[in-house]
Amino acid sequence: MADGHDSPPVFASNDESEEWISRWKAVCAKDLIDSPVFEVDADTAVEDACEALLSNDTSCLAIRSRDQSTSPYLGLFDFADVNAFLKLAATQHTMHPDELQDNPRVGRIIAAAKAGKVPVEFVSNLSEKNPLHTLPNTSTIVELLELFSRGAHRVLIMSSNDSDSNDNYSQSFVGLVTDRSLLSYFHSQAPETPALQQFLSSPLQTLSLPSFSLRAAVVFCSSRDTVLDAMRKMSDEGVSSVAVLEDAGAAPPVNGALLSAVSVTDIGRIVVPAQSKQVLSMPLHQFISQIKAPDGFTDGADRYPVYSVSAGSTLRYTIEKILATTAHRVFVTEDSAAASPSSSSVLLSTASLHLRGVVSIVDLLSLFARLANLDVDPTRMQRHRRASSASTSSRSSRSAR
Amino acid sequence: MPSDLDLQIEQLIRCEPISEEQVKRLCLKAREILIEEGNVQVVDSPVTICGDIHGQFWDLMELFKVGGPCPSTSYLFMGDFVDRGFYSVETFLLLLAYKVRYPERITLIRGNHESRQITQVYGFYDECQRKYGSANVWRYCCEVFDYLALGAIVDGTVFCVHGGLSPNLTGIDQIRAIDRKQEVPHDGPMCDLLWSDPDDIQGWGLSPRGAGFLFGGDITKAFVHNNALSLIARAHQLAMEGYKLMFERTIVTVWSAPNYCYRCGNVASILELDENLAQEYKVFQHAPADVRSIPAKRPPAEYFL
Repeated sequence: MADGHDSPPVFASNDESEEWISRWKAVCAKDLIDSPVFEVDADTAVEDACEALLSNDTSCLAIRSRDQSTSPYLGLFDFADVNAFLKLAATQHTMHPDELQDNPRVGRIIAAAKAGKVPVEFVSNLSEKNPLHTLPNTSTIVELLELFSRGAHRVLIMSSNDSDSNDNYSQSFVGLVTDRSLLSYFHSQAPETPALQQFLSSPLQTLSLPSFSLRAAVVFCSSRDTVLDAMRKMSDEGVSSVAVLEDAGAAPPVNGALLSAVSVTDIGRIVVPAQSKQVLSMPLHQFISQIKAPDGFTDGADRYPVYSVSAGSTLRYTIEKILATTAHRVFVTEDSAAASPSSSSVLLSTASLHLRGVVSIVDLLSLFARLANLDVDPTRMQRHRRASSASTSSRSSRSAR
Repeated sequence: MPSDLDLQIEQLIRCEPISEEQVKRLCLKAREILIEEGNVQVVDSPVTICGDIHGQFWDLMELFKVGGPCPSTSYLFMGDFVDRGFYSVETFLLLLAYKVRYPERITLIRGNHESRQITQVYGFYDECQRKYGSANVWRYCCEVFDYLALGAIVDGTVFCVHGGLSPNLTGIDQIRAIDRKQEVPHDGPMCDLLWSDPDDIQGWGLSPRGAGFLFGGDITKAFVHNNALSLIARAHQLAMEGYKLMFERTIVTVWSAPNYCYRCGNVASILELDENLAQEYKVFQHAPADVRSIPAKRPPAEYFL
């Protein structure tokens, strides 16, 4: 628990944590399945696989093994992998030959790209944030929580008849459970569970969330940075979204306030079909208009450019906002009036948002995991990614102080 | 000034932007008028209530053909004059010029798009840059946005607001207590009035838009009852048939941008209230396609080859 965060976390006693565990062991993981498993062949081109993500409206694909005798899938493919791949394609000419030698996977991708086609299996989990996790059919929420609270976003649930089977051709999957589904389950339990109700009433700033209190931990770009800058940051820092701040050099009131955000999904939606490298040098404020353009086309329901909550918002409100907007994270802000009371235009500054942190679905699930005293670290994969991208990059990495 | 303004109106009616200096003076004059208006502006019937326009200038011309020209018809526009369409500048400046020229004959209330943050993302900022070469006109207009009323009430019983209701506001008097002269906040009652939507739920829910709330028929009817209203008129959501009545006609969405974004295929409407507050919905289609109404293609973005 010695995270070094602002306030000491207040967690359940051992009796309570035992109760949570026994309660959750009674709920089957397979009852939370919210998506089928969409498959793709290992030799499918990356661009086609990305198109399959979009056309199936799914966040990941399972890549079929070439050799079905070992396991049906060799890994997963998602938008974070798309972003990592595109960033590699755009920057590979800056890489030192030694880096390619040290990194055979990267070398293989580049060679395939030069030959004309990169099979999706080369890009599986390139982001290092999209591992293939599977659970037996009889698993419970406790096993799900253990995986999600370590940063996984989805878990495949096996069918019921293959646990002891030696014949791997029979191994199949019922579907997958996403992190959102588990969060939605916990939220739905609140009305019947007084202890949970109370927990959900806690303000965010009293909970020990890893990416909340330290502004340096929030990955952001300026609205004048380019699309490639955003892609680079997301890939190198191991995050799936980057906050976009208004250009700090412009005249007030546009002085560093939170404008919007760019995610790996946006990259998959717009950069891949663009078929032109020029989109990579587009300034972010322009890219954001591109992202927002289709919103509301069909239902006339425009959305707010960025989803955020304040530091004093309750956990319940934060969860509800994430679920209502189908976002993967919300940013945490504080009124700039609080931050800069000497501002000459107080009325304007109370409306601009200043970035304090970010809270994702897996961060929230880690809080529930702590109720049951499960060992959690939602930033483990992110830190691993930062470390590995730092060792391959010629620039020094940013330390997440 | 009046004759100068009449010339500007003539120019804007031809869909020609006025100069930056003229915009600056027009906006200053508009602010002097708007600052005197209440958060919930009092309006007398008969009046024609209109929804979102979103920069669709030629469709606004269709609206005036159907509803009658300003000032012979009294109008109430419920916000969202800018963004999305290609003529946000001409659309907003024309409505503003009418407001300055005939302040008692037209009422403009604020929509969620009358905001610095939203216009930077949804097109108005870019259009100002393209047409004037700088952000000055955008800034002058945003300063006017801050002065727009949050709602209006016709003959004390028809409450008009762009979005909808707020869990923090049970009475119209509470709306009057808000300090509205600011950028639209990202949450709170002023934000909710401009962002909320009625929905088939019980009570309140968080909005999928990321701002404002969803509110059900129970909330709507309670608000109507507690404030002695006969109707809530609002806009903010596309209505394929131009208007949509809900919750036993206690609330209506009026949408005035036909073929929204030049591709939705919807019709638009205006709501005419006569001196007895009888409602008549007039539906209209988008302006006939000619070289003026829809650009041959979207103004080319610099990033594509």
